[in-house]
Amino acid sequence: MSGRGARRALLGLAYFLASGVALAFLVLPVLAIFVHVSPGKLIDQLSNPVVTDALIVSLKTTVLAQALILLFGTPTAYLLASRRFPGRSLCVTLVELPLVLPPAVAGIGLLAAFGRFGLLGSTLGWFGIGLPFTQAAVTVAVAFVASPLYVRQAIAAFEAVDPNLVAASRTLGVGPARTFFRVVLPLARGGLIAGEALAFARGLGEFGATIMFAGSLEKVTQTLPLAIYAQFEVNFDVTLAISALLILISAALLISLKLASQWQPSTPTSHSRFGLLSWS
Amino acid sequence: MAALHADFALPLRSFELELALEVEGTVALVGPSGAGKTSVLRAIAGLVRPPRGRIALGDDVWLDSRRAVCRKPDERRVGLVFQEYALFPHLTVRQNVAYSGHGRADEFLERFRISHLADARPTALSGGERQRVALARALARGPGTILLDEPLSALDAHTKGTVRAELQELLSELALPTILVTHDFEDAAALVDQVGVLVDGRLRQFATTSELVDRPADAFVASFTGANLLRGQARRLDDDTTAVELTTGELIYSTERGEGSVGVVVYPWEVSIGRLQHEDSAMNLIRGEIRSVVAVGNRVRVRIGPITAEVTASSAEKLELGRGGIAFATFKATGTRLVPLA
Amino acid sequence: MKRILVPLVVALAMATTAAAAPRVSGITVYAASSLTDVFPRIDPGPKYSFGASSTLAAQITQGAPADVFASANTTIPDQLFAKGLVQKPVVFTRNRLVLVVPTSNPAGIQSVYDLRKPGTKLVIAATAVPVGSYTLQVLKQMGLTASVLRNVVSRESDVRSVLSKVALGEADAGFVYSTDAKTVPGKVQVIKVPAWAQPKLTYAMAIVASSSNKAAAQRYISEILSKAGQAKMLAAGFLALPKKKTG
Repeated sequence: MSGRGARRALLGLAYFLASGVALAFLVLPVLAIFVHVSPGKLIDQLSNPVVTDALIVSLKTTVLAQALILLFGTPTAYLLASRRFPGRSLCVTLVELPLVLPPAVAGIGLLAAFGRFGLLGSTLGWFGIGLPFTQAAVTVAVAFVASPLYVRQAIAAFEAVDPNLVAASRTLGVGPARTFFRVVLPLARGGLIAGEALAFARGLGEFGATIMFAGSLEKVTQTLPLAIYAQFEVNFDVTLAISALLILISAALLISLKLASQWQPSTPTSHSRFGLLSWS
Repeated sequence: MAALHADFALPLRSFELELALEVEGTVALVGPSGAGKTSVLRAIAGLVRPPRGRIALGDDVWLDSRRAVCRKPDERRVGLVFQEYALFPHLTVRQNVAYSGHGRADEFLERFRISHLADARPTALSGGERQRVALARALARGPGTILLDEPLSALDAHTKGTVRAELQELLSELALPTILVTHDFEDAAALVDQVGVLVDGRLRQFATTSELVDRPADAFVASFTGANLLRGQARRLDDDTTAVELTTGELIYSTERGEGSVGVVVYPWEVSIGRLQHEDSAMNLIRGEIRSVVAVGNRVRVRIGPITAEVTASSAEKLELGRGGIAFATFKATGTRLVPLA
Repeated sequence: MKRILVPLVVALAMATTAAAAPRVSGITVYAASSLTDVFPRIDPGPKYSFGASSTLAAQITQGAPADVFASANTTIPDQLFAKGLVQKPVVFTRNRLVLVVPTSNPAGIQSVYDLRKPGTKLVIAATAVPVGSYTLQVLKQMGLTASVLRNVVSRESDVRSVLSKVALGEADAGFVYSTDAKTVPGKVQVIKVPAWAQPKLTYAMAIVASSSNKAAAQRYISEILSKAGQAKMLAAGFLALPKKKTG
């Protein structure tokens, strides 16, 4: 083999080797969990009240948090995507902030805001509303850390919609709200779903802010990740089972969201980088 | 039939757009890119809001800055066809046409001969088909005025001819005040009654196409209509004619008045070609090397030095015109127009 | 001769004590959270990892590279010893459980019995954590298990988290060691747990079986057990070992 051929073969080998290593690295920890816990043990543990309680708390809080994120995050993202106003980039940065905060810091921030002596917390206290240590606190913590993931994607998805399409809809006699539902939303769907997938995954795995702000109590605030942490020193089998459960839920989530976005592919229709028109 | 009245000022990026139009028939808005033509259409449609002005369709006032009236785009009965058509990619052709909800989608699909495409997606259509869908969609709304942004520019040369003819028929049939933005003089000539030339936000000329050819207001209008534009220095002569010394050196004469830096406007079909030099005091003469010979249909465009002439194919053959040879371009002083140079 | 003898002896004594200043390096010590402040004061040499004794034990079981393991109870070291993961544990100090409330005392707690008040936000450690198990023992002794556990709002993963929640004012009360309460003066009020209700609260430590530096580990343990070490522990608020020194 000529020198050049040998070099090419070597590069090719390195290329595939590197990819192989990367894939193995990502797959191994996940695979290892399932190697350690047999399907029989897993199903067994599903009847363990620690696991079922944690599952219920996780699902309730995550679903509620995601609903809030979609309800408040979508109009926020649309506003930031479609209008240019002084201070807009500041707003976008603020929305992204929780993303770069270490979860523990987020937890402390939430305490500082909503804790008993917190900025808003003390006012809430007068009305007899106390947030820390409640299931509502878990929802708040999850919403706080997960919303930037959704909002950022949503902004990008809305910005990718051709402003001429929105203009066309208006000139055809359709008002701004109906235009949003008939044109913008369907076209931005793919990006919104992707963003929601990220937010959901982040919310499900949330730990640091939750344990700081909401504490950990079975049936009330102990989510699946918190249960893993609590069970780690008590019963390693349960820890593995909960971990396997979380993996299965996350995988199911990822697959169903991929299917949902495949169903009606949303292709970017705009060539312009900047968003929708500044009128409404 | 109601007339479209648009009279407003709108600040754009580097200048202010200011114009007043009264449109009863079909009007073309032409001009260099960036002149504000598309902004005019957007202002009339309500997509941008001029700070000053009045826009109305008959008695229906859409904008009146003095009385703080500003109708939203969905409240104005406009049919706006975008340059890239802006068809909804996630809807079928039928859904696009039916979008405005007036329930006559099938009728319009028929009328524009796109019924067979009813269930197709816009991305699967050709340029000409998309244009028809865009038109059908805009008209299905029952608009009171039609605004077309470069309706033919996205089409290839072959489709253009057919589509232009169809559009011409459609516009005369509809008889609605229509504004058509284009950068092509021939399209304008075929489709509209009057042409407004918009340069740097101002209307330089507003006239019929033949007036534009006969009496172009300035260099831009002249070059837009396809004329030769030669530059030179003019001075008045005693017999009331003007002598112009071209930058290329020749001396030519015009019966029009001009002084100082001028543009000389001569249309290619007004220029004759000869292989031999004739001495004729009534003719302007330019001697030059034959730069190019291009057949356009049954005519031939020949570039001789700085000037382009257009002759019949048979004439070109007889003269044995070929690149590199020497030829003489002649044109009458009476047909030589002068325009001020900016 | 006598004139230089006394200063010489004093100098020698000082020199030996200075030379004998504890600094065992090259070992890793896994110790209970409540030892966070006092152990480094006794010997700043080793690498320390502080956490709930139960968490540390789990990590050691998974193969964490510790040389010495110091737990807030005897149960956990004994369990590890039974599994052959550590050598025979030795007790090295004792502690007391106390109830802490924020300085502002929002719930008006004056005694452990007040914890029965409905709406009280009580934070304790998880049962697997030594201080959590001690708490349950205290409540059982005082016959308060059902009535007080009702008010638990969170089971924390280690004693310092319990302390923080109380110090921040988020919780109305929490059970920690008396030594922990001393680390945040002015932030918490200490309420005594009756002596008769106190559990046997003994700390034990052991050399980890997989340690590659057992000699140094042993030196470290001796340091903690030495007079100087024990004096520092007492100064931090830990209790002296009973006269019988058995492991």
